[in-house]
Amino acid sequence: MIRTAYAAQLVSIGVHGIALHKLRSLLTMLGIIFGVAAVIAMLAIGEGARQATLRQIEAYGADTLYVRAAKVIGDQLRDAKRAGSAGLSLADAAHLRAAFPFVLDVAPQATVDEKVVYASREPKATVVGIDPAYHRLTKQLPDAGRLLTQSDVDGARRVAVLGPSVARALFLHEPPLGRAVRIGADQFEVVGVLAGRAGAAKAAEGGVQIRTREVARDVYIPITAALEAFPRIRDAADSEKDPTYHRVREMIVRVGGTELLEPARRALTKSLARRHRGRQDFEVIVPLEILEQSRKTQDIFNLVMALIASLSLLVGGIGIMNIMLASVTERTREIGIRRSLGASQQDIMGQFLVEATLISAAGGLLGILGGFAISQSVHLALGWETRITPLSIVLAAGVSCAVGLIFGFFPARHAARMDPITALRYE
Amino acid sequence: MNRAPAVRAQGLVRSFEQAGGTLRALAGVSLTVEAGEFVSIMGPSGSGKSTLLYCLGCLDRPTAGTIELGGEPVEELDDRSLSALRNRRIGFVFQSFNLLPTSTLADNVGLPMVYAGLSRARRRERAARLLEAVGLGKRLDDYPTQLSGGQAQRVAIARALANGPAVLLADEPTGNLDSHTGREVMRLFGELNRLGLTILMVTHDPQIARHSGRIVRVMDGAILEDVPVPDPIREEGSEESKRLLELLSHFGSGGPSE
Repeated sequence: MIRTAYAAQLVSIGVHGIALHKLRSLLTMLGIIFGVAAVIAMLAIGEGARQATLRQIEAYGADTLYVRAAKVIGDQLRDAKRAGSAGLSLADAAHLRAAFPFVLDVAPQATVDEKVVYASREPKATVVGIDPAYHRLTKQLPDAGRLLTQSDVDGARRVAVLGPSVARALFLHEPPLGRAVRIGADQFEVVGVLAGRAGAAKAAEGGVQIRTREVARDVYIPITAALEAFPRIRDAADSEKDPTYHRVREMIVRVGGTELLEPARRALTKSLARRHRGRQDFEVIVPLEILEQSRKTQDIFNLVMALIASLSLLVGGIGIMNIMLASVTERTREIGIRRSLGASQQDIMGQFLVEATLISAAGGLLGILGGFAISQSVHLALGWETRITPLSIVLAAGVSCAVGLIFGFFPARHAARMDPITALRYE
Repeated sequence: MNRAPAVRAQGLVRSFEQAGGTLRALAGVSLTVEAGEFVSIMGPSGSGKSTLLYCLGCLDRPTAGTIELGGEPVEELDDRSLSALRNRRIGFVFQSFNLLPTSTLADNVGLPMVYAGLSRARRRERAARLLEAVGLGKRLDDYPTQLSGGQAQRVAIARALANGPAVLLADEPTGNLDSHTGREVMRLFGELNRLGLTILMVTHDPQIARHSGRIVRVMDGAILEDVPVPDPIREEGSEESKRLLELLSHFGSGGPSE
C-alpha cells in the first residue's frame, strides 16, 4: 500500500516537473519520437512486405519454376537458326512433360499481338495462347461457363475464356457466353469468364521482379489455335526478330516439391540446351529464389532503418540526459530540501529516473502514433503494404522506457549523490 | 517513556578537505540536550554552529565522534535508515524558509509525509490541519511566492512538524524576518517547547536567544560556554499557538501517528 502510494507520488512529481517545462520536455522527446516512429514504420513495412511475399508464393506456388524465352537478335539469331534451334516451342513443353518424372505439370504460353473486338469495342486486352495446365497452375476458376480443356487444345478450337474486366468492357451488360469475339481475322466463341482474383495483381505491387499480367485483362485461347491463326508472335514487328523463333514465350513448370527446384533447374537447363543445339536462348527462373532475393533486399532496408532508428534513439537518449542534467542542476536546492525532509538517496534517484522515463515514454507514445502515420503515408504514397503488429508496439514502448532509464541513470545518480548541505545552500 | 537525552553528541569532529588544507569546522564538540529543552546555539559566522546543527540533524556526517538521538546511536546507520530517522524524528526550519516555489502550500507541508508513505488524501487532510494551526488554513492551494516572510516561515514550521518530530532544528529561523515577525515565530517556538518538543536553534541574535532556556556559545568549532538563560522570555500564547497546541496533542511526538 505504502509502495503504491509512493510510486504514485513519484509519478506525480515527475508529471509536475515535466508540466513545468512543457516546451522543453517536448523538444527533449523529439529524438525519441523520431526513433520510435522509425522503428514502428520499419517493422510495419517489413511485416507488410513479408505478408506480400507469402501471398505471392501462395499465388504462384512455391514449387514452380519458369522457362522463359531469352532475347535473341542479330548474329546470335542467325547462328541459332543455322544450328537448327527454333527457340522455345510446344515440342519443348511436351519433351519436359515426358522426359522428367519430377515434372508434374508444364504450362506453355504464347502471347498474341492482336486486339479483341466485339461490336466495334476494342478494350485494352492481352491475348494469350495457353493449355489447361495454365489454369491449373495459376489456380484460375471460372465465374461463368468453363475453362479451356485439353480437347480445345487438341482440336485447336476457336474458343476463348475472358478475364472479368475484358468481359465487362466488351459486352457491357450482355451475357458474354456463346457470343463470338474477333481476334485478328478469326472469330472466337466465348466459353467462359474468369473469376476475379486479386492475388497476382497484388503480388506485383509488392515490387518483386516477376513479370505478371493483369489477369482481369487477359483473353485466353488454346495455344494451338494461337500458333495456327497468328504466325506472328508478339513484338515480331521488331525487324531484328524472327516471327518464327520462340513460338512459345514462357512455360510454367511445376515440380514435386521445393527441394526439387534446384536439381530441376539444372536438369531442365541441360536438357533444353541440348534440344536447342547448345544455344542459351532461354532462361530458367525459380520464383522462390527471386522472392528470397527480394527478402534480402528487404533485410538491407531493415538494417538501414534499424540503424537510423538506433541513431535517433541514441540522440534522443543523449538529449534526455542533457536536459535531465540541466534539470538536476536547476533543482539542486529542491534536492537539498527534500533530503532535509527525509528523502533518501534512493528516493531522489527514483524521482529523477521516473521523470526521465516519463519523458521518454511519452515520446515513445507520440512516436508510436507517428509510426502509424508514417506507415499509412508509405502505404498511400508508394502503395507498399504495411502492417503494424502488437509486438512492434510493445517493442517500441519497451525501448523508449529503456532509453529513459539508461540515459536518466547518470543524471539521477548525480542528483542522489549531491551533498544535502551544499545543495541546500545552492543559489 | 524513554528518558534518554533527546540529543547526545560526544567528541564531534567535522573537517573538510580544501585546497589550502584541512578545515576543521568542528573540533571535538560534546553536547547533551535533554528531551523538552529549548537550546540556542550562538557564535560568529564560520564558528561551526550550523555544521553542528546539520550533524545533529543527520544531514551531515561527522568525521569523528558519536551522536545519539533519543538514546539511539546513528553513526552505523546507512543512508536509508538515516533518512527515515530525519523524516520521522527531526524537523528542520531554515533561515530562507526553503519552500518549493512550484508546489502549493498543502504540497509543501505534505512533502515529509511523502517520504513517510502517506497517501495523497491523508497528506492533504493533515497538511490542512497543520496550516490551519499556523493560521493559513484558507490558503492550501496558494503558492509560496504569494506569502510574506512571516507566513512563509509559518508554513515551513508546519512542514517541520508534519511527521510529529521529537526534535526541531532551526537554523537562524528569524534571520530573514523583521523583529515583530521574528517575535511571533519565537512565540510559536515557545508554545511548541511547552508541549514537550525539543528545540535546537542556531542564532546570532541575543534577543532571540533569550527566548530559549539555555545558550551554547561556539567559537572555532568548539564550545566556549554553555549557560542557562536566567529569565527566558515567554511570549503570551496567541490563538494560533493554542490551536497548534491542540493539534499536536493529537499527533503525539516521535513519529507520525500511523
